[in-house]
Amino acid sequence: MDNNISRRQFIIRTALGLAGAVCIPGAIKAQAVKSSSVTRLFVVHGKNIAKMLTSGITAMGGWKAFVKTAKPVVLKVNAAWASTPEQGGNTNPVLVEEFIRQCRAAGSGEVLMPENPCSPAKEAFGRSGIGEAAARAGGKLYVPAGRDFREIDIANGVSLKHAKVVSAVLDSECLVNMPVAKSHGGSGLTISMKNWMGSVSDRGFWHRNNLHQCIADCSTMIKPHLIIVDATRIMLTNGPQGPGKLDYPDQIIFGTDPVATDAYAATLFEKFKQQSFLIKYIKLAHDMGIGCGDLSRVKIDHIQV
Amino acid sequence: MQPRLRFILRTSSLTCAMLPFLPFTEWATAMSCVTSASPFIALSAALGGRTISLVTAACLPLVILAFFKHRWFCAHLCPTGFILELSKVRSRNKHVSNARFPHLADWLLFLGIGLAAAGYPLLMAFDPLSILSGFLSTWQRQNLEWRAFMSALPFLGLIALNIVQPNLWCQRLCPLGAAQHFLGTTGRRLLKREPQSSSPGSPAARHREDPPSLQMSYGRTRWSSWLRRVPQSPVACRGVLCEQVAAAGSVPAGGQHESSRRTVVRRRFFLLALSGGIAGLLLARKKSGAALAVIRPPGAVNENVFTGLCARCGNCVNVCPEGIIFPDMGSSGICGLFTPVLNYDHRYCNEWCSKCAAVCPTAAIRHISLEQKRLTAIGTARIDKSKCLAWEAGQNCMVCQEFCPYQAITIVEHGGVNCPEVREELCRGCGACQSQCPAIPQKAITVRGMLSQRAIKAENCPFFARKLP
Repeated sequence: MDNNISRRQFIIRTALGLAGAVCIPGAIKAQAVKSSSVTRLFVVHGKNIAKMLTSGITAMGGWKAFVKTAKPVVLKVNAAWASTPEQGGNTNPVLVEEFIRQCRAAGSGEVLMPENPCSPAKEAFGRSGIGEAAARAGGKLYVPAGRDFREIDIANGVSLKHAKVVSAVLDSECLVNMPVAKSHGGSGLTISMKNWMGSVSDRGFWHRNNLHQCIADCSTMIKPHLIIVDATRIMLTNGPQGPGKLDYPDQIIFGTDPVATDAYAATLFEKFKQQSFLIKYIKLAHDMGIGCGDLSRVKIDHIQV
Repeated sequence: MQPRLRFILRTSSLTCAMLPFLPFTEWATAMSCVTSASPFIALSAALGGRTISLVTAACLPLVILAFFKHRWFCAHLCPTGFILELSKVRSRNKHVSNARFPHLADWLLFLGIGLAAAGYPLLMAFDPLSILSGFLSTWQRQNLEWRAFMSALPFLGLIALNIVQPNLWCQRLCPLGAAQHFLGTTGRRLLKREPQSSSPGSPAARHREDPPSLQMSYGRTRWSSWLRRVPQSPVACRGVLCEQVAAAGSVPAGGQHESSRRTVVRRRFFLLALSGGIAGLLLARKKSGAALAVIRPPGAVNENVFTGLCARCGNCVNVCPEGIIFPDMGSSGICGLFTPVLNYDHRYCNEWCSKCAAVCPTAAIRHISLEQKRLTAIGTARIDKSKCLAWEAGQNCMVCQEFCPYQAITIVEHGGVNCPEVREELCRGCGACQSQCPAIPQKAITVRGMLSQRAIKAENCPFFARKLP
């Protein structure tokens, strides 16, 4: 066979090569985009909160995926009310304590927990057990003062265009949202997106200017790296303060998409079982492209511990 | 007594009075005891409030002291008197005589007791220890707002008065001094110790023997002498409190005068107390119906009695950790001036605190347990639907329901939006809703006080089972 390739072959091969060079990376990239665009949730069922947290984090890719060595972690819990852990008004203190412990063990720096509570801080942090949990595990729970807030613009905000937000939340390299799922008089349910109201200074504005839109707007700006929804017990009535009727799904929901986690957590409530879009801010956030609230397009892995 | 020793005594007494008020001390009972150490306050409060508490017993040392030693307290221990005397140093009028000024202290004392007997001891605000407490308690203040400092004003006024007219307060106006004098003279009579008969009788001689404050005794001057402007002859005095200018010429020394004075004094006291009683009855009756809008601290007695029974000591105003108690500036009528009222504009009366009740020296605010407090209505919230974000503007608000610790706000659906409605039978009037209501410029939900605080039945509160410490 002749070693020299003909001009025609050369042209064909070159064209094929070029086409491949152009198309294959594109195809690979397209494939990659497609795989990451599938929103994933990990729902861990069980009673042992420490084990549930460990397996949830492992499923999410391990602590190393979130915690950077010696860098502070900002944890937003819900410690808004002076109610006991059994009443479900606040994040489960056992979960909080375990999180801080594992976080520190994974080599994180300080665990900062700014929280602007509704009840007097002393009572809210004390009675919720979260103050004690944080102190035991080495987290720093504090009420942000005036200088801890920073005014920022929300470019994509429809209703909420400016907000004073806790600087730590804005600057963190590892921001974790750890809300509790419970009923809420104003917004229907409060889960992860609504939890950021505890990190802003002027809550009144939200209530005057379309609360649901403001909740969605806020989530265009605050992007947590990890969301852990405490649904070990959920308050069905008289929320958000309670006490009210409780249900015990015994679940902890792990994810990175606030809309998906909220949409899934909403299905735990009888009233919103079929349609989490009945909660207006979930619908708004979904429509604004903040995340995916359509659970049929979310890959949910259930893990039994 | 040595001036230096006296100075040490008075300094330590003042320090003791200050201790409970230091910003870092949390010593509620001691705060109330500073005021109720005064027999005038303790007696008026016990008579007026028809109760005797342990705090009332704080007056016993002073009662015993006065019984045996007359006004020894004034010259050696009284913290207010000490500060007044220090303030006098700067006065230009050091040698002005008060001799021609009437003994208004008697009036205050006996009118006050008459008022107290009628259940309306209005004049407790004139007690020097209460006035001092009003000043000292501002140290406890955590959030600074000018209205709270009103409780310090009477004390500052007292200092100003003492600079203009030195000793006038101690010698002629102080009802605590008058009470001690009355106890002291009674004690003397019962113990058959008549200083006049045992002493040579000249004012100067008596003056050296008695503590200086005794110079404020009766009979030296009277209305008549004041009106007639009897010429004065000054008497030198070693005492610090007293630079007494006695109207020596007008007083015949000796037993004869003493007995005649007593009759006059007795009759006058009786008449004063009687008129006080009548006034008290009238005032207490007149009050009802007025001042519906003001909210009193939890545990406060009926509004009719409260304005009288409050000593205006400022303890509750300044000790409130939420800073929601303020001296009233007229919304509860002229008799209610400077009494504590609650303002819920920014913060509210949360269910974990009953500090104001613990520091009240006169039991105008009764001691109540936290459990009782959580079942006591001090007011009722009302929604002005025309201002409400949910009712009027269709906003998803419900902050009032969110914050209500007693679930006294129900959700009513109106045009697809959750709207609030108050369940008055459950509302405690704590003000959580009002303090947080985001409606501007005016709050849509406000709390109105009630004439008489109301107990709420625990069985009406289905989910109200939160454990207390």
